[in-house]
Amino acid sequence: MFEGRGMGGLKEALKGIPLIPATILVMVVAAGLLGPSVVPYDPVETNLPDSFLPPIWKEGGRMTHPLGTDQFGRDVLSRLVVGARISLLVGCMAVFFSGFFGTVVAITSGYLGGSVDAFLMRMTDAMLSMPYLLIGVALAGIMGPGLINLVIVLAVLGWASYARVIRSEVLRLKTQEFIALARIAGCSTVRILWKHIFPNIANTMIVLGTLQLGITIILAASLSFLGMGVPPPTPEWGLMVAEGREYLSTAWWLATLPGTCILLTCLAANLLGDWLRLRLDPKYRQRA
Amino acid sequence: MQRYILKRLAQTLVTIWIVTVVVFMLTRITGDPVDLLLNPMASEEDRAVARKAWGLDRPAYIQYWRYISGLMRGDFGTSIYWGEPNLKIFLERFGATVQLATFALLVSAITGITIGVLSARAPGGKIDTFGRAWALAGQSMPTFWVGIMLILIFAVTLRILPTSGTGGFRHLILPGFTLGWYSMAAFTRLTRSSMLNVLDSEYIKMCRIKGLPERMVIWKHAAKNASLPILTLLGVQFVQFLSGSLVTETVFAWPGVGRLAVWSVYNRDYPVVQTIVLIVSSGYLFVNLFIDILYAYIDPRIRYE
Repeated sequence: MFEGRGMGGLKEALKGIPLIPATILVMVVAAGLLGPSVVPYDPVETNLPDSFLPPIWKEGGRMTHPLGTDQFGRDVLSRLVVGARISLLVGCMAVFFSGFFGTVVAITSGYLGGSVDAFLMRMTDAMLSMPYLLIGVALAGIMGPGLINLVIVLAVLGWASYARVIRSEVLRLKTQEFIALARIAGCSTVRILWKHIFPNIANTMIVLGTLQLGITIILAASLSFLGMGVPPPTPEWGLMVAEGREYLSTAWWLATLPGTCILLTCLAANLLGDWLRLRLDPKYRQRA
Repeated sequence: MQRYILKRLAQTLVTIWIVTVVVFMLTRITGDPVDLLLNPMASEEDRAVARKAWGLDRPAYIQYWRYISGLMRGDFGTSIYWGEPNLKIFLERFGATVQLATFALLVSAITGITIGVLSARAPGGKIDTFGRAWALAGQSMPTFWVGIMLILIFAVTLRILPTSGTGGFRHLILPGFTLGWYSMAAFTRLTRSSMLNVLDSEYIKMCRIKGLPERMVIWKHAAKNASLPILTLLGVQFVQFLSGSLVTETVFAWPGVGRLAVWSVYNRDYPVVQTIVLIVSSGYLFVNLFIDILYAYIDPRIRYE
């Protein structure tokens, strides 16, 4: 993936990266990693005398709470920052597990072919045909609220998209000469899959992962909005929108600001995913 | 052609069968379904009575056989909360969701296709840049937030539209736009790329060389040939709206199948949830089957692959 070595190689690899989305994503990751230790207020501790303070640019806003407070007097900025950690954690873990499982299915199905392929593809079709949000809500309702359960539900919902795309790649690779030569040379199936197939699908996996991150964050927020994801008082962005909904006419910032965070994070992930696809796909590289 | 249809039909039926297995397993993944279906405070005697009444004391394969044979007779089971057939409860609310989905489809298709065609006419121009930004923004916004923002702007601030519920065309506007928002982006992207492919082809160059007005080139020749993938998306999106209406119907208190589904999960009425999943999945699979057969009929190369 990186041509050349050391800093020269990294600089070359990051050439042309869209700066604004990259900056947004770096800020969100920084908020996720450092935020909880540097936020001025405890995101779950209530402070009723200070409830419904507007953001600083509105009349009545205060420097001590730049983005205002919610119905329990909790600082919105602190909750948004801690929410970044939760969204990223859930998103990245779900993408990792669904990608891993989807890839295993794709490689098995694509490389072995025959009845194994037919069966696994019918399973994939079944998963892709089911209304994913409804399955998510049902599964989340059955398993109960919680971060780990949410990650499991999202991983179960997401693997089929990976399986579909990566299987196409594997089918294409299977017909290449270097695979035939590896077989003739006596390589075992496991060795061919690990040494030859897997490195060649890694780029597709990375691009798909980045594009799926945005979708997964939105799905997690939707499940939390419906009360099926992370339970209160944890500051998850989707849950914050749900809680802010009933105060729309009096405290619009409670629902607007968390949603804006979701929008900016997904936008950044999608733009970076598009850039990665152009950067890593050989077809585009040759044209450039 | 017949072989192709039979093969695709067989695949669809196998996939539906897998869906019935998943739906059947849904209430059994955490162990005893009685724990899920009854109130957690229910006594042991109540559990035993419920188990016997719902046939849950029989082995799993017998339960599955009874479930599947019931489905084939059109019996989707009975709701725990309502005490009525699940199919009846589903059909009572299906109309409202179809109404919402149809309006959302019209809005998203008309907007998306128009922007997509105008973008493709002048790639790199102002409309194209706007169209691509719009499509990107559309796919990065959660549906529930779009709904809430529309309520904030049009219902709370401007007070020109109602916040929720049903009652006429005015009540359909905000939920319709919310539901159609995400797919507007999909229509824009697909129309743009489909048109760009077609506009690049030799016969379009021939039309221009012949001196046809640009309006005719775009709408009479290019648009017609670019429309096949767009028609596919229309079919697929409609069915996806039926399932994606969960969030929109919750935000706007729209009395459709989506709201029924969420409510049923909250109230542990899982037989209703199973029915909704099965019907919507089967609908999606049959729409895909129909589209595949249509494609094979139009393009003979597909059936010989």
